[in-house]
Amino acid sequence: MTSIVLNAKKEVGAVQLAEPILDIRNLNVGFARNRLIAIDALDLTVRRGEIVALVGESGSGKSMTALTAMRLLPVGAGIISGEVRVHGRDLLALPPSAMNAVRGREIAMLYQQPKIMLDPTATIGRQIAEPLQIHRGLSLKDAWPHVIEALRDVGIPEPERRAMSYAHQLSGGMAQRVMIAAALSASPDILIADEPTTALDVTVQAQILKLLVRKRDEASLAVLLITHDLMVVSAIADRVAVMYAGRIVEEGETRAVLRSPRHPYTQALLRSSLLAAEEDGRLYAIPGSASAARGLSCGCRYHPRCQAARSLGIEERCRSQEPSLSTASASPGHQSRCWGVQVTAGGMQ
Amino acid sequence: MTRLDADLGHIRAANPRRGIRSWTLISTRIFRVHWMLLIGAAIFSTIALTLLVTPWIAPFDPSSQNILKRLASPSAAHWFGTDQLGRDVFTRVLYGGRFSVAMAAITLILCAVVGTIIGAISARAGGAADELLMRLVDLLVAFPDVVIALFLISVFGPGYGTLIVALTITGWTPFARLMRGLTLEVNTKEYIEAAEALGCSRWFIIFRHIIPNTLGPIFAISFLRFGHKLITVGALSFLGLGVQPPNSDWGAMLADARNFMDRMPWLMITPGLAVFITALSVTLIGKGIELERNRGRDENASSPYLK
Repeated sequence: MTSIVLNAKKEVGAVQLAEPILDIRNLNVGFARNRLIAIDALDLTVRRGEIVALVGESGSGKSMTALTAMRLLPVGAGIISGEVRVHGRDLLALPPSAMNAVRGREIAMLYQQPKIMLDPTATIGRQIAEPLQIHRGLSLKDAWPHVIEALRDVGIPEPERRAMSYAHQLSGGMAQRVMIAAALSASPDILIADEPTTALDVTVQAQILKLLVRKRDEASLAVLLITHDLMVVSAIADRVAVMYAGRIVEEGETRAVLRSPRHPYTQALLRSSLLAAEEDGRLYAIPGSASAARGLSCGCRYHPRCQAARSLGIEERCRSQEPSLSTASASPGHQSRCWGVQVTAGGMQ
Repeated sequence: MTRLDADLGHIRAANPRRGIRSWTLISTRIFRVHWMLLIGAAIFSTIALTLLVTPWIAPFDPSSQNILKRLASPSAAHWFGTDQLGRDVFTRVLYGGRFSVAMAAITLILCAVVGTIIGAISARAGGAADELLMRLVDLLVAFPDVVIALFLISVFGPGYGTLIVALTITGWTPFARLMRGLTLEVNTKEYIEAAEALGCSRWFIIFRHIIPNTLGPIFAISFLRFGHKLITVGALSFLGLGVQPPNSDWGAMLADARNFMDRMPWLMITPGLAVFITALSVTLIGKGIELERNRGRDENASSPYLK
């Protein structure tokens, strides 16, 4: 699956010149009740025609990033500061009514559980027609040919008949195709896909990923792919950002990050994925838990679990000062947030 | 006798509800619905059809008087006898039913529409607006609806329009309360968030996603409330505040018959029975819908019929 999809990947050089579609700057999001910081000074850019993967374990703030960009944060979570720019316009400054015109039209979202994301009482055709009705002002009748075309485009057989079926009549993969058709029917510029393949079985995962890549190629769609699955990342992402405890700890081209990860957390994440099982076939588990980072007011968020800090003997520094994102390798744009990397790089000079 | 037959016989003997069970078997096997729904629908559709074709089938003119035959007992010509002006009671029950059932249905539909929309808005808006609307509901519930209706009728004068408005103003509250609860539940569903992510506005979500997903319970309660509406319409007409002579409905007929209750009881019994049977049939439909909806969920507890 990996090799087939990799072939579809765009030339990296071309991608970097493209205009930024989604530009998140210095975003801080937190929960008011327990004073928890969910997203901590996040900077992220997704350019036209680019698939950027945001990876990290549960609770690292990846989904919160997606919901902030959609401005669909759950009750209790609030944006402290920052900007989410789409085409240069700050979405966080828009009035709520103006957001309705942006959602679905400029920025759309895919979810993890496609079947429960479809209204059980409406036909799938009607739901795909919704963005056309809302954003293009089409009647259901006028939108219908577009709906059939969209269903055919995402690979649903017999679209005329399928458009009349309901969510419970679809398989998970079919439902995700329908969700893709619905999300893209008003041709948004950026698609945020929150674990779009996690609930699907592996063969279907590959089909959905291929579909995403094809849509990206056809429409120069920008995709922010949120996942914890490094297989998916290596298959389709152009760039990857690794999140830990609300911060980006490493960022760069997929190949550079996955081949030569610099941050100890990225290294550990790779070791614990199926891409790199231990020699005896067992999977590595990162000692400790991410909750150790909660309540840290200074220092590197990862230092309580970091083995590199101990082996390099820089624990004191890691505990007291937070490293900045700095160049990690020769690959353009490859950055990591680690004292260890900076120390070794400095030592080598 | 095979062993299976013996077992079945044993089960039948042990089941004291055999009579009901055979009914439920016919209902569920042939029509695949709960027997309450079947019987209620059968009775109500007969009543509704009869009332619809009344102008063609009624044996007499409802207001033609025949003083010579006043207060006659039931006979072949006058099935339910005649009233104090010699009018045919059977004809008047039919014509009266057209008013009563139509008024009850119109006010019920208005109540359901108004209550559903207000309940959905209240739940979606939340905060102060929600609080305000629900306290308004509390206030209206605290007053007996007939008292509010009497007040409105005394202000605007009697008549159909006033009756409908009065009964709608007092009757939307149960729908609003139910709808608010249902909306709060549907609001937590993922497809509502997905609809928001597609850019659906508040109204679009209420009408296209929330209301269709709450229609089942709303329908059930509508049918259950119908009997109540029929009786309230009857009560207000009984007080002389609904239909005005020479027209009459079941409530007005009851009021007229009151004076002759000791001598001519059928004058009172017939419209009374009509109200009773109509209300019962619609309530059966409502109950049947409710049980039908619950069928898959709690088979053992709530279904006395085929498992």
